[in-house]
Amino acid sequence: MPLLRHVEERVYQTWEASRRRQSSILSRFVAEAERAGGVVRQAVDPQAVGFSIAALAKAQGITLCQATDGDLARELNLEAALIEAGVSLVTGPSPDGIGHAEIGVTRATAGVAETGSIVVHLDEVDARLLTMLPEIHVALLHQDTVVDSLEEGLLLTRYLILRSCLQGRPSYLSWVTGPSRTADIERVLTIGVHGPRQLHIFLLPPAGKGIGSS
Amino acid sequence: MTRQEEFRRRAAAALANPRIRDNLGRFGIAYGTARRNALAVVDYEKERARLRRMKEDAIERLPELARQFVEAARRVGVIVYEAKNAEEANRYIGDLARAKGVELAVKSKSMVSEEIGLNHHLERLGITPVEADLGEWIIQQAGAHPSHSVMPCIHMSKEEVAGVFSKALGREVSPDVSLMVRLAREELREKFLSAGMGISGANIAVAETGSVIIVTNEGNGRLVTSLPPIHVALLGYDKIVPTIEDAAAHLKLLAKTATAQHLTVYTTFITGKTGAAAVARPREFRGAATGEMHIVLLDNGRWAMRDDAEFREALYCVRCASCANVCPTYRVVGGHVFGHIYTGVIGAVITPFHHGWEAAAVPQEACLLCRACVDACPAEIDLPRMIVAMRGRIVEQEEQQKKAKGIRRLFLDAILPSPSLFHLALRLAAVMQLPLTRGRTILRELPGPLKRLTRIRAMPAVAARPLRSRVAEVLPARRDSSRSVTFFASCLIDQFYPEIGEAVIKVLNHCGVTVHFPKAQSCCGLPAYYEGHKETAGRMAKGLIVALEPSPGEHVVTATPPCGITLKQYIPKLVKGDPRWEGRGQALAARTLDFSEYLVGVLGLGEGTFGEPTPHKVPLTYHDSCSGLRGLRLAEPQRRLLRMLTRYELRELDEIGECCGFGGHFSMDYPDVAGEVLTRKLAAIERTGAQVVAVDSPGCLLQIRGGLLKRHSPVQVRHIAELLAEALA
Repeated sequence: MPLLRHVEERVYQTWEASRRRQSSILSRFVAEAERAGGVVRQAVDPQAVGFSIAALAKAQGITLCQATDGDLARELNLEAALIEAGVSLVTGPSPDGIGHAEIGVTRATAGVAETGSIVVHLDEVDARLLTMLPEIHVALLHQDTVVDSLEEGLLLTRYLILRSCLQGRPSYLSWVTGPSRTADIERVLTIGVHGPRQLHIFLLPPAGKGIGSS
Repeated sequence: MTRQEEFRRRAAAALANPRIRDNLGRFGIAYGTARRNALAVVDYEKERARLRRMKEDAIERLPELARQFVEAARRVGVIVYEAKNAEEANRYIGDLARAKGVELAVKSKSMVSEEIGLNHHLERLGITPVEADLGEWIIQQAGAHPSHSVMPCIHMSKEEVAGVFSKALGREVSPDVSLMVRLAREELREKFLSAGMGISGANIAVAETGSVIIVTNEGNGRLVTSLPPIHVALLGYDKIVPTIEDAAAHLKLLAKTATAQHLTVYTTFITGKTGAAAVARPREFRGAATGEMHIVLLDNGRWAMRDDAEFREALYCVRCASCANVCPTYRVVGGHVFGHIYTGVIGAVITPFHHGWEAAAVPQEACLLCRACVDACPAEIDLPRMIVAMRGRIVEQEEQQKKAKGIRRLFLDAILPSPSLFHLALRLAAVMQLPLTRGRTILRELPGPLKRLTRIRAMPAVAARPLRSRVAEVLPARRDSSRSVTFFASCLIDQFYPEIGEAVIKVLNHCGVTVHFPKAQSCCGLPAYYEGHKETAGRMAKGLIVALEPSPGEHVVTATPPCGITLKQYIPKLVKGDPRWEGRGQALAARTLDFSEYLVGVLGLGEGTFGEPTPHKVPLTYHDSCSGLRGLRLAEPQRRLLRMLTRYELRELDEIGECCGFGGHFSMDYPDVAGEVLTRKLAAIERTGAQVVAVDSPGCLLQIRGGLLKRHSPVQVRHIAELLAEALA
């Protein structure tokens, strides 16, 4: 697959170049994501993120939180933090069916500074729905997966989709830029229509694995 | 009923509802500012040139890209159906839904589904389609059609929307926007969870990977494509681009121009069906639990559009609705009048291909040809050019069907092109108007069938002596100079405002320029051209070439920008391909300059002052003519000349470039619509506090001065040439 290799090489070059300008890219990302209505926090210690999520839940009277998988919950120390706050946690698909959790916790594959978007690549439908159905979506993003421009973001997106497509595998990827919104009635901006009313992005330390590596 | 009468009827209905123009007028102002801010972060001209190139290339390569797209989609398990027309697309989706036992289908926003009338078809089969985009849901509950392609219910107030909610939910809902949004969320969440089928459109389709890209703000698009086990994406061939990276040009500008966002909230890339949520399905449901995806690729006139050189560029549209948002008449009448299913200017242009010429004939009448949409279009689509081309074909069809109306045709095809008949008619009018004018130059009210002309503005009387009778063929410069020009007066200056012509000559003579005024000149043919009478316009082009060619002026100068465009742009086009005329047409175009452009560009005026210094300056504003600003791309020369005038202080309008509503025949045919456009212009003038409005075009002068006179305003309207001549006195 020379095409895929060629695209992959360009993605790698982009990642290398981005790492050299990471602080300016990150500050652009934070400014744009917040302008779009997201809340961005730096998380020096991933284990502390669980407490931030628990505080968020408690402040808003939330009782059920769901994370895409156990690994993610453990990485954030989510279970312990939520128990302390009296919030229940489900990891993976819920036995009670979809649409009950009030907070959905997922990873983001990448970020795009120019638009303040996170790239959510979740082919598993139950995991994906955690970015759509709950009132609050919490996304974890490694700092070194943020690229600068829309063009670089699309290059990465092309790579991720092409990789699946060439193997005949379907895929589902979204760029999420702030919380759900509408202005359909008298152009009055209203946050939270069908999707989450709040988008919280936690910036985790660099993973050092490149972008889109599986 | 002629199309003009039918348009008047429809426009009158829209004008009777002030809500439409209040909402759209307010939106237009807010949109302008927000859009400018959103676009400030990019090099707009560079980006739209990139989008244009990308779409040109994609449409050129469409046969190959469409094949590639279908193959790639099939590779990831998508079932692709290529539909020739609306009927085939409807039948496929309806049959699929029936075969799978679907009772409820949720839909995200899809204009193509409006195009083919999919909801109606599904309902006939007993399947309930539910629109999930909030605006579309409101429209569906109201039993109406979208009036705007991005904001479907922009024409409704929140009180009206609350009425729709109350009826749909069976209880009283107060007109509180956030409450209504919350209720819609709850109501529709249920539908998402129980629907057997999700139907989406697509903003972009990707040949390389078979992906469809959907942009939404509300998040309905992702739910429609994730929750139900069957996803049907319905899209036109025109959406296909080569790779995901090519979408950059598109995504960079779409949200900025459509909703003044940098990017919409959700940009979703769907490549095949990735499972379906495990929720209880209706008893009858027979679809696979793991899910399946169908793509319906629709032609319905798109390939014909591609093969039609005059209309191909309509396929470059990204559906941002900018052309509607900046359109002065859309803002007055809304999308139910300016549009068929697709709304606004692009809607009018593509309607013949999707819904036939019959459906297209009336809505296109709304176009003033002000060109505001050309600059606003992120794909650089020349919509007014296509409107004129449409008019040409409509006129041809009316000729064939003998539907063309007598007097209009007689005027455009027989009187106007004949200098002797045309001038005779004007002389007759000059005599016949005497009982009305009683020597005055202004007519406030015209009687009988002409009443319409003075409904919104006073009209100028036909000059007792036209310019051609007042000046000689050669008007020598006041001092020796080798410079000379040929003055093309235009009908308006010659027959209605000879004083402007005299001012032009006076200023040129003062600047050492000898003016030649060939008396053989007559109308340039613009009215015929704009109304689609191409053959007549072609004949008139040749007549004008012959009249002006022998005149010795180095340049041909006009003080009427619309006619300047005819000479510089339309005449070369009209004689193109005719070896005897092509070169002559180009020579005339190359020789022609606007008055201001000549003074500043050739004579080097623009520095220093004109007139005596005065302690008290009179506030003056400048109204750009659409033809001068966007047609000839002239904004600076006029302003430089005005700043030279010692008597005046230039104050800019807050809505520079807005049309005054004249539009040639438009304000004669549709005074009520033109009057609303004029009202906005007069309000903007009033906000400047100016006592004088300067214009570069006698058409704008007629409209604005007439409107001010009708309102008994003391504000004066003067052509730049008159102000310069006055300063010389």
